[in-house]
Amino acid sequence: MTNEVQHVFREMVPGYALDALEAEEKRRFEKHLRGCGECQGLLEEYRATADGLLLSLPPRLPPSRVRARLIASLASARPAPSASRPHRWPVGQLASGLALALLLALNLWTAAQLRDVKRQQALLQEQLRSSQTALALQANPQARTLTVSGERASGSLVLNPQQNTGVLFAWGLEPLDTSSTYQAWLIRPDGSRVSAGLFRPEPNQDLASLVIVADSPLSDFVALGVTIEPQGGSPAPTGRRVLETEF
Amino acid sequence: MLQSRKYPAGGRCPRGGESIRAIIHAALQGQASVSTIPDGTLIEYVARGDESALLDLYDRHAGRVYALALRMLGDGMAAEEITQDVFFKLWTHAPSYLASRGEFAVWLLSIARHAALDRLRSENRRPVLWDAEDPEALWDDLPAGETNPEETRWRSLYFALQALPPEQRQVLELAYYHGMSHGQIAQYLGWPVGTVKTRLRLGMERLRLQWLAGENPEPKSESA
Repeated sequence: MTNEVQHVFREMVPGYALDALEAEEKRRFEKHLRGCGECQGLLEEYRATADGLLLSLPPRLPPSRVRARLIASLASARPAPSASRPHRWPVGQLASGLALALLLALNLWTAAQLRDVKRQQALLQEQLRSSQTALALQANPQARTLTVSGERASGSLVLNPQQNTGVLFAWGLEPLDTSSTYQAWLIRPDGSRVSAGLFRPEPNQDLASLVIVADSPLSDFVALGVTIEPQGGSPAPTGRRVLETEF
Repeated sequence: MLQSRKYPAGGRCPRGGESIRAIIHAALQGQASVSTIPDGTLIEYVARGDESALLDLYDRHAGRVYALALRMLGDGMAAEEITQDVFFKLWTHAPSYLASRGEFAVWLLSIARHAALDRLRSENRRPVLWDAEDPEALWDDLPAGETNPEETRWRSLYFALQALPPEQRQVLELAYYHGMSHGQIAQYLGWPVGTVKTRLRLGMERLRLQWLAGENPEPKSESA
C-alpha cells in the first residue's frame, strides 16, 4: 500500500469512530481496518476520545419525579410468584438488549465478529433465561433445589413443584460433536418419559443450563433424567443416561 | 442515612443480604451512605434483583444520563423519559453488562446515546445547536461522593470541545449528538462534504490529543 493510500484511510479513522462515514466509505474502511494495525491503534484512541465525550457533559440533576417513576416501574417488572400462571420471558426484548450491549462492549464492526456475536448472544440469552428463571424460582418460598448426579457430571435442578417451570444446571458434561445433543426427560409415576428439552454445552464452558417448561406442574413427575441423543432429539430415550435426580 | 432495602416479593433474596451487610458496615464506619461501593459490585447486586442497588446507581449516574439526553434531544420531557428508560433497561439487562465488563459509566451512557438517537430518528427531530456557554451547567455542583479521578479528564475534554473553532465544534456535535453522517451534516449546514470531513477530522484530532494528554487545553487559533 502506498503512503498516499494509507494516508487516506488514516484520515477516515476519526469519522469512523463517530460513525459519520457513508455506507460505502464505511465498508471500504472496515475492509482496510482488518489488516491494518496502525489504523486499529488509532481507532482505539479516537474511540476512547468519543467515550470521553460521553462523560464530558456536565451532569444535570433530573427532576425527582423521574426517580419516583422508575421505582414504580420496577414494581411491575418483578416476577410475581403464581400457582398457575406460566412464566413468559420477553425473549425478543432480551435478544435485542443483549445484542446492543454486546455490540457496544465489543465494538464489533466486521462480519466475522458479528457472527461471533450471534453465537454468544444465543448462549447468553439462554443463560440469562436460566439465571433469571432460577432467581425467580428461588425467591418463591416453595422452591426446591435438587441435586442431580451422574457418573462424571453433576448439577442442580431448581423448581417449584406447583409450577411447570424449572431450571437445570449441569457441570462437567462432556462436549458433544454436532451429531449429538443432550436431552432432558421428565419421568411420570408410570415410568413414561416426556421430553423436557434439548441443550448442548458450549465449547470451553463447563456449565450448561436449560429452562424446563412442562405442560403440567412438575409435581406430576417423579424424576428427571438426561441422556445423549442424536441431533434434533428423540421421541423417547435411546442413548446413554448421564444425569438423573428423583423428586 | 440508612435507606430501606426492598427485596423481590415472595420471600428471601439470600444474596441481597450482602448489600445489607455493606450498609451496616458503612454505618459502623461512620460513613453517610453506601455510595462508595464500586459500580461493578452494585451492578452485580442489581443482576440479583436488588432494587436499592439500582437506585444507588441511579443516584450516582442519572445526572450524566439526563445531561446527555437533554443535550441530544433539547427537550426536558423526552430527556426524562430516556433517563427512566435507560435505568429500567439496567434493571432488566444487568447480566448483559456483567458479561461485557468495561467501564460501567461508558456502557450506561452508550445505551443512553443509542436510545436518544433512536428517538431522534423515529421522531425526525431537528438538531439542537447548543451555545458554548451553558448557564445551567453543574460542573461545580456535583453530588457528594463523586471522587472519580477521571473527572478532571472529562472536564478538560468538555472545555476542549468548547474551545474548538465553532465550525469544527458544530460538525462534531452534529455527528456525535445527532448521529449525522458527513453527507447529512453537509446538507444541514450547507457546506461542501469535503469541508465537513476536514473540520470533523481536525476537531477530533484536537480532542484526541487533549484526551491523551489528560491536561487542560491551550487553545490555538486554527483556520480550517
